[in-house]
Amino acid sequence: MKEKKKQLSDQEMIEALGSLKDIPARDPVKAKSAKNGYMFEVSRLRTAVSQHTYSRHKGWKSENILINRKEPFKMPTFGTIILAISLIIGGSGVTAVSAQNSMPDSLLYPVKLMTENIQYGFTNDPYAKWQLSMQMTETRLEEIRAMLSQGSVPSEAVIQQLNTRLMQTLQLASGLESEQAALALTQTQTRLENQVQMMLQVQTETPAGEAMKESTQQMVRECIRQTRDGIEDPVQLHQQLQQQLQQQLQQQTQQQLQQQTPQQLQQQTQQQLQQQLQTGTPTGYQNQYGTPHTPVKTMTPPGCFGQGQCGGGN
Amino acid sequence: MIDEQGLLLRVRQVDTTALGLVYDYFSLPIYRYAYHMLGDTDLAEDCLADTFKRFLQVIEVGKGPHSHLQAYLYRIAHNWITDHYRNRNFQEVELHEDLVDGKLDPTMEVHLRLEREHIREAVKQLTLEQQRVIFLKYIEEYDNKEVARIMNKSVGSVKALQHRALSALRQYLVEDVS
Repeated sequence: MKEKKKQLSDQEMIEALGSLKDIPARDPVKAKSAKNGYMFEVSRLRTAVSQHTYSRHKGWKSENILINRKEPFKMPTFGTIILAISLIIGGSGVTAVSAQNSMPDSLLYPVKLMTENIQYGFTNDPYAKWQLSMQMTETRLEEIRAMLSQGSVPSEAVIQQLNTRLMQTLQLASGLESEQAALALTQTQTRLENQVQMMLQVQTETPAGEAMKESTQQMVRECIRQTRDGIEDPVQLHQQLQQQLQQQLQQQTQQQLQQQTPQQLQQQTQQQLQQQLQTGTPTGYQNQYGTPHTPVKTMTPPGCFGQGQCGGGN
Repeated sequence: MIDEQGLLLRVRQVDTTALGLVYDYFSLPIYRYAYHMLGDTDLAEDCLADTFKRFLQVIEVGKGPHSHLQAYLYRIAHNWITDHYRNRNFQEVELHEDLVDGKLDPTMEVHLRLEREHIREAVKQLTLEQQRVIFLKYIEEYDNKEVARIMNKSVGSVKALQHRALSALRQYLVEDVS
């Protein structure tokens, strides 16, 4: 007994404790799920709390109160946009506000989209732009869910809007700096997975509604798949999305040209020639700088997001 | 090496990237700590999730650490573990099969596994504070200063605690052998 006690020196015990360094490897699924849960909480926290202390309203804290007695008016961006719209369209700001809850089949829906686009246009920070785009994607999905629950079937334009938003969100997320891109893509994945879950709970009344629900789910799932790939390599996803967009643009331009009758083509050519004669500059030169010309749609057909693997909408 | 001060500043501003980095840097050490103290992977996952949840709650109300983030997170995890042991009865923990290394000779494997389990059982007989110091000092190999910071004690008390922990462990191991 005494011999054993003498044998166990501190060093030997420390070495023995070293064998406890090995622990079972973490279950990767649980680890990923835990991280996603944490990042989701972070995203909620971020929206609930003001971002920076210096962006808070602090007009009264001016050191020289004798000069700066008046409180500087700090209007939020959204308020500015509403005011601008109301001034532009003649005091119908109430319309813009009430349009915020409108559905795609409502008359005020274009106003809602316009407001969103203006807000999006005013946003310069890439991260904020991605967040806004993500919110808009969720809004589109919310609208589709609401319509399906009410028994109506969303139009193709609504699905196209969603497709565009999904692609734009992924592009923005993958285009961020490496660390931010990984986080943004993880959040995108989590939030889209939540959307799929919510979509599953929607009860549709018609076969057309069911088909539309299925097609929307497939579109979102395809986006989730791409997001998952993008988490591994955001740069590759970004390039891939750009290539897809270019291909779609080319296809749509060709389709538009094929759909035009010879008379339309002739008319278009004449218009271009007249424009050229009036301005004295070639049409190609004008197009390079974005002067008015035949607009090219950037939307993709429903159910064909990504590499056309969805197919549910066709 | 991370710039802790800069990171903490961004964390207090609820910067998503910074909060993500905090998780990436510290989730594994906290998980290891929880596993060693609890001896169960599921409980360790729960502890990890709650530790970071509590951390976010603190950030949400505009508080949170201004320095020594790692020590702060360890303390949250430790509080969770203490609460866990207070609120429920002890359960015998089965030996995990996934500790087995398939490359070893089966006889050697069994021998190593038994030895490891023997040490683990001896460590489990120590007090929570002694287990903490054993884990931080001899398994995670932090220096005395860092251990003191994590345990919120002076370096002197940490050294004394280490000494008592090793003595107690020696006694348990020898008793088992005899």
